[in-house]
Amino acid sequence: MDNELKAALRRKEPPAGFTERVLASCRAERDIPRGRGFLAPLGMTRGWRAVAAAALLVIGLGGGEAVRIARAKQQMLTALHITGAKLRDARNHVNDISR
Amino acid sequence: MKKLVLTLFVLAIAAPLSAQRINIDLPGLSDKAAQVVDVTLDGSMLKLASKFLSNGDPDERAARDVVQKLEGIYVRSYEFDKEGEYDRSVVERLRSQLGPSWKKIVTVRERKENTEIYIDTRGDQPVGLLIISAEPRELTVVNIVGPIDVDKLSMLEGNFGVPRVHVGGKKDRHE
Repeated sequence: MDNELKAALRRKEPPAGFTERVLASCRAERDIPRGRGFLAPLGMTRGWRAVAAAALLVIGLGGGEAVRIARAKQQMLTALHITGAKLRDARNHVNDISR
Repeated sequence: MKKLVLTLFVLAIAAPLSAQRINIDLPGLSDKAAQVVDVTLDGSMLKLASKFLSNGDPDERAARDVVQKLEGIYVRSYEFDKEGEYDRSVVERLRSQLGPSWKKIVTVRERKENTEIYIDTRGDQPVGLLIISAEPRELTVVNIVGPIDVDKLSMLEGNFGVPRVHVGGKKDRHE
């Protein structure tokens, strides 16, 4: 048992070229261009990726604004409907009384 | 100094002409209500929304005529499952905010229903409208700020593809 443990924990030298392979791998990682993200599969250059990202941003913001306007319009029509109905009810009551 | 006096003079004239917005928020009611309509549209939102009203639709064109000069529309409408689920004294809280320029133009009192319409008049023109409609299972408060054409407003009911029904859900007996 003692001998087996010693054998298992014995210091081993790395295989030849191990250090060079690790360093080369680190360099490759560092050289990856920034901003790849989800547009990478499209194979665009960095400039076109920036243009596409800006366009998506504008479309996203525009969509949000459109939703806001549609909601405001709907609210306005609902408010006018309720107001009109209440005014008409009151007017009908007054007309009923004056008859 | 002259400029300051002139500015103060202009402000003094302009202040009474601007309509008063009433605080129609009624805390706690929306938790009890089965159905809530909450509309808060200030002048800028009204202008923005009215730009997108269709010219081809006569209802929407009429709506644009009504809202083009308004400074705000605020509506709170609560519908309850059972009678007596709200304290009718909340109405008094609304009335207490009305300044001397507000005049009550209509009161409709039925057995359990009560509708009051107030108009804020500065000069000849109504610049504010407050409607308080209190029914056993429904409370509706409308505050419109800005120059108002009441006749045009009342003509709008039944428009916008919404059928002509009583807001409380009862069938209109005038049809």
